[in-house]
Amino acid sequence: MAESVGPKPTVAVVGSGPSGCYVASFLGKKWPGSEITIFESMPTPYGLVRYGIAADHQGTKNVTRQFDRLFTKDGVRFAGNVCVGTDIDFSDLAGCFDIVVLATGLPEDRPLGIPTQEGTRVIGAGTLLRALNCFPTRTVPSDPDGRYIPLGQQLAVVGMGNVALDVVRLMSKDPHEFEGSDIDDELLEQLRPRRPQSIDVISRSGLSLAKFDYAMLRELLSLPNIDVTVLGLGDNATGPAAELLRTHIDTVDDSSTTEPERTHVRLHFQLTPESITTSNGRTLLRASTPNAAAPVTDLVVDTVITAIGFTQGAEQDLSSPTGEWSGDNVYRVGWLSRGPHGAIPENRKDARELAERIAEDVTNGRLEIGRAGFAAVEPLLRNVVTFADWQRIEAFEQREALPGRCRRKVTDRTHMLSIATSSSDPEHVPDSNAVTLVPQTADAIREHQRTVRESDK
Amino acid sequence: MTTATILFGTETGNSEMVADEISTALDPFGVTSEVHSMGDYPVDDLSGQQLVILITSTYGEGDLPDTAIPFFDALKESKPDLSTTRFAAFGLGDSSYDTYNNGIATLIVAVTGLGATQIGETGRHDADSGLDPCDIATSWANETFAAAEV
Repeated sequence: MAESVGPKPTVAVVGSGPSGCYVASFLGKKWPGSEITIFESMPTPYGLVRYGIAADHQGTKNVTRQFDRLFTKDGVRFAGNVCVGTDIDFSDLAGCFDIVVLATGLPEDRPLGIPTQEGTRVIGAGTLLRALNCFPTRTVPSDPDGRYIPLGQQLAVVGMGNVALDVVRLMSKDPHEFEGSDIDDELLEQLRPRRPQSIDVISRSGLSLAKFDYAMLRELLSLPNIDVTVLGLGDNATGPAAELLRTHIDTVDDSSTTEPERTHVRLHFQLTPESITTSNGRTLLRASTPNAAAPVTDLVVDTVITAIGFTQGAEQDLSSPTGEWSGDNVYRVGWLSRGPHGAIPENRKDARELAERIAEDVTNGRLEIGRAGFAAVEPLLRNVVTFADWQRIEAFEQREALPGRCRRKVTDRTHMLSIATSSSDPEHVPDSNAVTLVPQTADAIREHQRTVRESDK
Repeated sequence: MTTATILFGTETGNSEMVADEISTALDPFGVTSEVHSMGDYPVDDLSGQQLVILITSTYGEGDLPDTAIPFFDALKESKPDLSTTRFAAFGLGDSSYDTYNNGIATLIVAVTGLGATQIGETGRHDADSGLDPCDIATSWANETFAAAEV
């Protein structure tokens, strides 16, 4: 199987999310024995698989089993805790590797772009999902004591793609329904002490253009604690999703008729957000409808969660590729190149096509090969987290799992790094007490997590 | 020496990984194997095969993955005679959906309808179980091929 002849270019992939891992995998198959390094700004690999895919979708996250093999069997190098753009200049990287593939994704929530009064409560779905996935940098609002401010009893979600449905589902499940997940229980409890009374989900388009997958809709509708009402579907809607939703049309749209302990989810089609203002300390989302008789709908909620896609990092984010990050040997893949569309299968396809294109460029001599690769950049780097280091973090997280959870992720970056470097002996169990006092009871763990998080700020 | 043709249908690459793993697991049984994507495999070549191993995931509403659909359509279209072909089958699915492992079931019906004989039980990996699909596939291959006269 191994072809020992043929080119062996040095390859740097920037970003260890699914697109970056797939590109490394396809290029490794093309050129067995070539030197491939995946750089990752976090100490932990897998990007959106770890921090974007919802915590209760462990089946989807299982794709990491495949990526693990890249590093443990196929000789791909993981260089974690290395931020291209801050820890190493992009130009140095591009000068040292034959091929550079940028797979940094789209880290920010796309803003709504409508007039929004200051002081209103608007947060991005990506921010929320990252927080519930234990991302170390917490950007959900917290009070001066470091407790996260509850999102409230009435929520609005703008957008009706899969990410929007993730938000609705995560907000509508009780803690025991997260069995087997690795959700941040403490953060969930603070943000959402109890399930909201209502969630209004707003789609600008009609059902035929709605972006969610049917399986996601079905999963949502099967939740035991929600009542669903559908508005603005129109009589002409057809297809399996329409069949599924039709039974929810014309259910009484009045949350007072919902039993108090249930969550009333209203799916609004053809509703276009126009402005967000404050109204008696709450948040008023004004939206327009195509209905001439009632052209405006006002929703008064506690928090608006935007789920309308993702975009580039801010200008001051030096890890975000700019136009200058280009050159003959520089390629882009995944969401960074195509925009925030498509899930894992589409990104795999995209990565395969890119790998074909790169291989062609090498075969037809368009790309010159022979640069030194990792050895040339290694002297520039400090505190690189290797894959073996990451496996120590992973083992720690699995060992610390609370009952009913598959792991308890470390939410503090310094703590991650101290576990990573705790011992180079894989048999050695890192002594968590040596790192930081790790309490034994759930309450003590919460208290401890809170303290650790305060130190993040 | 038996030669097996391992065919995978995948969208995320998990079935391809499992196919490679099963190929390795067959070595001790004296079975050499070739791994192909269903998307690249001409179905007319199937009738000449002694042993075929089908591996596929399930997507959407119990559908076959994109790469397996043309393969399935070609089976229906050209109806190769599989009366001398034996096959084993392994599916990847997620039991949190009620279409759990529909994909492999669809392929089993199709090839059985063309005369192929299944050996062993259908292997299944449940993504919801948290278990490594490669471990499950290897145990399945060991059980299936230890019992079978290959």
